[in-house]
This record gives sequence, structure tokens and C-alpha cells, in this order.
Amino acid sequence: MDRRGFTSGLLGAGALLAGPAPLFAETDPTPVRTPYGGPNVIVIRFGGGVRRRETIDPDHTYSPYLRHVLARRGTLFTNMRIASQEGIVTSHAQGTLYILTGRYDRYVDVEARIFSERYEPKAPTIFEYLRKVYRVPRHQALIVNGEDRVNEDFLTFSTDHLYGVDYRSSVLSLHWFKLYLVRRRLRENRVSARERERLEKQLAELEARNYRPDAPDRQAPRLQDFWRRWRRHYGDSGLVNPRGDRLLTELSVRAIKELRPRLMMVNYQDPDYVHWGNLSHYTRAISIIDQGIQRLVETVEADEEYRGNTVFVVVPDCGRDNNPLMEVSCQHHFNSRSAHEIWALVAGPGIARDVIVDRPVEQIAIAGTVAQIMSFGADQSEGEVLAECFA
Amino acid sequence: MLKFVIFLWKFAVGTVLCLTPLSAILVIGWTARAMRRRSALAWYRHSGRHTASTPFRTFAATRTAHAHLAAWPNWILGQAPGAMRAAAAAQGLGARAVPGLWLRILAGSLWENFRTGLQVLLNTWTLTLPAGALWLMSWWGGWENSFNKGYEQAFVGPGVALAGIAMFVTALFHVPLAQARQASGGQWRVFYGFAFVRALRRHGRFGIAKLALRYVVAGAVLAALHAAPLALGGYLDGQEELSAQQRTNIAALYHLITAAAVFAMFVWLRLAAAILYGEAVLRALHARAITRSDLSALEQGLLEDLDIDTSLDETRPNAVIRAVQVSGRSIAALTLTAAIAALWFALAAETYIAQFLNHRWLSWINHAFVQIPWLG
Repeated sequence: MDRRGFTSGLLGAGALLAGPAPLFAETDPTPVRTPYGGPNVIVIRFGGGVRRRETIDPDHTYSPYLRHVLARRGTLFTNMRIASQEGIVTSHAQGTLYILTGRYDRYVDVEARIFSERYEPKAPTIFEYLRKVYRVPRHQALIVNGEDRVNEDFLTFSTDHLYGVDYRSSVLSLHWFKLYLVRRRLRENRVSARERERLEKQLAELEARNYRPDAPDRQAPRLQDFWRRWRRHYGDSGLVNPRGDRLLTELSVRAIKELRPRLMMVNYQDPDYVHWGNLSHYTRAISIIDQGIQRLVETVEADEEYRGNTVFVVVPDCGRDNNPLMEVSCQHHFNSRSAHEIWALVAGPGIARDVIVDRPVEQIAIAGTVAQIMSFGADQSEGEVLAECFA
Repeated sequence: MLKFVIFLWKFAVGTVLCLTPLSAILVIGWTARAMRRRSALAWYRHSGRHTASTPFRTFAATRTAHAHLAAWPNWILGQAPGAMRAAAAAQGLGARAVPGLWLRILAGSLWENFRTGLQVLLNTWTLTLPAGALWLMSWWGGWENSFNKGYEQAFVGPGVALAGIAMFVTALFHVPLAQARQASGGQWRVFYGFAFVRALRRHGRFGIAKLALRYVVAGAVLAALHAAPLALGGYLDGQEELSAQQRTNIAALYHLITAAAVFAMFVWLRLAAAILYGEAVLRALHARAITRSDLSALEQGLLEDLDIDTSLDETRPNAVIRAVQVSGRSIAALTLTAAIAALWFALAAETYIAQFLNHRWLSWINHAFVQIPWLG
């Protein structure tokens, strides 16, 4: 029997023990879980790979809100690193997994294909830890993803047999909206035969992106409602809604207002466009993320339940090169010293204000720190807790 | 030993000149003059004058009109000063001509390298710069559109890129032979002899395919050099113990090695084109696809002096065999043409790969082996 077979069998056995309820219904897989009292946590992946110089360096920053405003309200770790060890990769999916799991596990594509990054978290994510301890429904444990990295839509649960799919997070992304939209349109009677054929083909392609056989390809009813309202507002074309990283901000703001997430991770990405050689894409993208962070903070502060009850954790997925011989010195992030150099900012209630910590800390400390903020255990996380950030 | 020292001198100067785009123009001109010599040598080997006891340099040195071809071109000093003085004396030039003569003796090659290099470059640009401009605009515009998620015009960037690549491939069916013709004939106008070059292509397809393959092989080395800073710079970034001066020295060494490699491969490719040109001209003359009057005065004079028989081969096979030969040649010609196009496409692809690894805006409009031998 392989791992997938074992997991399916376990889930089946669990379903039998739980009684006649459907396998993926919104029932508690664990008998006793308490309601979650807060604080809410919003993890912002300042992603795509960014250098300290263009983000937290006060003299060269392209993210002035983050550096000059939000950093004053929290604790800034200026010397966070991704460890330089065999098997540790300075890239986006890997960095996201290090943040989510608190471990520097080694990741290989599920079918070992070259240049394919279909990964499965090997240890529980912070979403799984949270949902195992607290009664947090799936629509309140959210990952907000961009459209360029669909594989990251499936990092929602680990292969750990004590956690896994029952404690998974949900994803807000254009991929999932398209799935919702195509299925809806196929149910509508107005579709011509030719259009139906096209939609069915599109649906098959969308469903084929899901490389995790345990993962259901339908979302919870509250998320279906979310997409219904999104569709009503922005239509079907995909040409009206905000694009790029601004889309993630819009999805996150609407999620706060409609889904009320307790733990949400926003995976910004566009600074990575500098791979193609245009430096202004990198600096412009950083500014867009900065404006997104400002909007999220303002949304939180305008919401009575979120105001004073939400902690922001901002951390890059990886750094970028600092190559003196290249015209665009930060064009890539291929495991250079600078690509391992990142930072983190924690801000919100209970967090020390206007503090800068410059001792070396590791990226895998984020999971343990979020666990401490939200009062759950992250027993398989290997990083320390960033103790300096607690007031 | 002296020959080795001279070789080192010429190679060192060529390398240093390939460090900047302006000085690299001298390399283009110097190489063109070397190409003229090389295609003349190719003809010499087909002539009755060619014997083991009379190498080409001896033949050329004994003729005032061709004395400048006896040795590799100089960088600065005028070529064959003895022949220049003899020619001046033969013309009965007076004392007023002496300063001009001495200027030509002392710096004649410097001027000739610049003048010829600029002519070759300007001609090459007319056919290749538009393609490079399309590459640059498609890369910039395409990624700008992608960054802004302009789905509605997503086709523009790739479409313009493909158009630019098509222009580049088409241009390269003409440019290498045209450069060789301009070098051999010593006239800039002959670069635009499209019918002449087309005729040469028909009588040198296999050689052109081999030349294109050389370009692709050299292009792969060029792409590796272009991308090398990715690894080298990453290494430098990790070496905290290196001083600023040490880093500068390592960077300078990289640029020097690159310039040396670019110079060597540039000369290698251009000389290969010169040989191909020389051989193709003789075959085309034999086949009556071109006539001697299509050649420049310099070339006509050389052919005359070499006493090469370019008469038509009168033996013709019968009609059936001719039909088979013609159809076979057509299929072979089509296949070779497709292969050549694929090779020029591969040269373009190498540029794209290198640019992704280490982007330089100017590398879209300058290919070191097609235009200026400079990598930036």
C-alpha cells in the first residue's frame, strides 16, 4: 500500500467511526475543539523574492508604508535568514512551505518532473495546527494566491497522517473562481452546445491542475457564496477585476469583510517579474505590495471586530541576488548569499512597538511565532519563537 | 619565434579592442582585411601558380597590386610599406607627397581598419538592426504587458518577437556572404548585391549550412560567457573576505577573457565565411551563374594574375540523368535551406536564453558575431 492509499483508508475508517455524516462535510473531525477567541493573524508573504535594500532599508525602500509606518507599530527583524544548507532552496514555493510548516524540509515535485513545483507539505501547516485545536471553519482559514503560481493553491494541507486534509485551509484565487464560474455556467441552460463543449474542456483542464488526489476540488458553501458575490460585482470576463498583486489585495479585503478569517495568508508575488530583466517591474511591484499592505491595515482598523484584535506578520519568501557583474544585480534568486537574506515584521496587539531586532533569526521561526500568538502548539515546527516581538 | 610574437601582439590588440563597442569597430575592419586575404588564398589554391615552393605570401609579395595580402593585416602600421614606396616612386610623386606617404606608412592600417569596419558595420546594421529593435521592443513591451496583466493584448509581445526572429533569420541568409563579398571586393556597395549573393548561395548551400553550424556552436560559447556573471557574481557576493580591489580585478579578468574569446571566435567565423565566399565564387563562375564582370576590379585583377580557369564545364549528362539530378538537387536544396533556417533560428534562441539568465538591453540589438564583436 502506498502513502496515498494509507491516507485514504485512514479517512475512510475515520468516516465510519464518525457515523453516517458525509466525509467532507463541515463536521468536527476531532471530538473536542474550542472556539477561537483571537487575535486574528494575517501573514503577508512579501513574495516573489525581495532584497532588504528595496524593502526595509529606510534610505532605499520602495515600501515606505511598511518601513516608515507599520514598522514603528511593531517589531522588525532586520536579520532574518533562510539557512544555507544542502537541500534548502531560496525560492517561492519552498519559502512558503518553510513559513507555513516551520521546517526546512526538502521538496521534490510529486512526480519528480524537472522544472515542475508540485509539492506537498511534509509537516503540518499553521492552518492545520490551528484547526485541529480550535473550531475554525475552513472559510476562515484562508490562503490568498495569485494567478501565476497555481501549484501553490494546493499547499493547503500536509501529508502528516495526524493532520492533513480535514484541517486544510481554503484558497481564494482566480483558479478557484474560474472553477466556480465554469461549473456554474455549465449548469445554466443558456449555454450553446459549442460553448458547453468549450466549457467542459476548460473544466477538465482546471481540474487537472489539482495534483493532490486527497484534495477535494470543490470549496465550502461559504466560499461558493463568496464567488457568487464576486461574480455579481466583477462579471465573467476576468477583465474587470483588479489584476496582478492588486487582485490579491482586493480578494483579501473582501475576505475580511465577508468571510471573517481568523488566519489568513496573502501570497504576493509580482516582484519576481524582474527575472525577465526589467528592474522597474521589481521596484514597482514592491510599491504595489506596500500599498496593498496599507489597504489591508486600514481595512482591519475600520472593522470593529478586527481592530485591536489582528496581528500582521510580514515576511518574504526569499531574498534576491546582489550580483555585481550583472546589469540587473537582483535579476535572480539562485541561492546566492543575498538570496538567503530576508527580514520579518510583526505588528499588532500584544506585540512590542518600534523595536528593531538585528540578531540572526531563521525564516522557520515564523510558524512557531504565529503559534504562540494564536495559542496553539506547533509540535513539528523546528524554528524558535521570536520572543523579542512580544510586549 | 618572431611569428609567434607577432601573433601574440595581434591577438592581444584584438582582445583589448573588443572591450568597448567603439574600439571593436577597428576589429571589424581588421577582420575584413583578413577575410580579403583569406578568400584570395582560397583562390590561390585553385590556381596554376600554386606550388609547394611558392606559398601565397611569396606570390602576393612579388606583385605590387597584391602586396597588401602577403601578410596578416596590421593594426596600426601601413600594410606593405615597401610596396607603398615603390608605388609612389613609380607615380613620380614629389616631395609634397612624402608627408602623406609617411602618414600612410605609420598609421595606414589604423585608418583602413576604422574605415572598413565602419562600412561593414553600417551595411550590416541596415539588414539586422530592425530585427534587433523588434526583439528589444517585444521583450520590453511583452513583459511590461505581462506585468500589468494586459490579457487583451497578450499576443503582441510574442507576435513581435516572432516577426523579429523571422527578419533575423532572413537577413542571415544574406549577411555573412555579403560581408565576405564586401571584404573581398573592397567596396561597400557590393554588400547590396542580392542577386549575386543568391547565386552564390545556390552554389554553396552545404558550405553555408556548415558556416551556420559554426555560428551556432560559437553562439553557444557566447551565450555561456554572457550568462557566466550569474555564477561568478554570485560567488563574489558570497566571498566576504575579498577586498573591493580584488573584486574589481576578478571582474576585469572576466571581461578580458570574454573579449579574447569573442575576438577569436569572431575572426574564426569571418574567415570561414571568406573561404566559403571564395569557393562559391569559383563554382558560380564555372556554372556561369555569375561572370567576372560581376566582381570588383580588385577581384578581377587577382583572378587574372592567378590565371584560374573559370570556363564552363562542357560535359553534360543526358536528359534523364539531368532530370534526376535536378529534382534531387531541388529536394536537397530545400532540405539544406530548411536546415540553415533552423540553425539561424537556433542562433536567435541562444540570445533569448542568454538574455533570460543575464539581461542586457544592448544585447538585443548587437550580436557579437553578426555586428560588433563586443559582449558588454
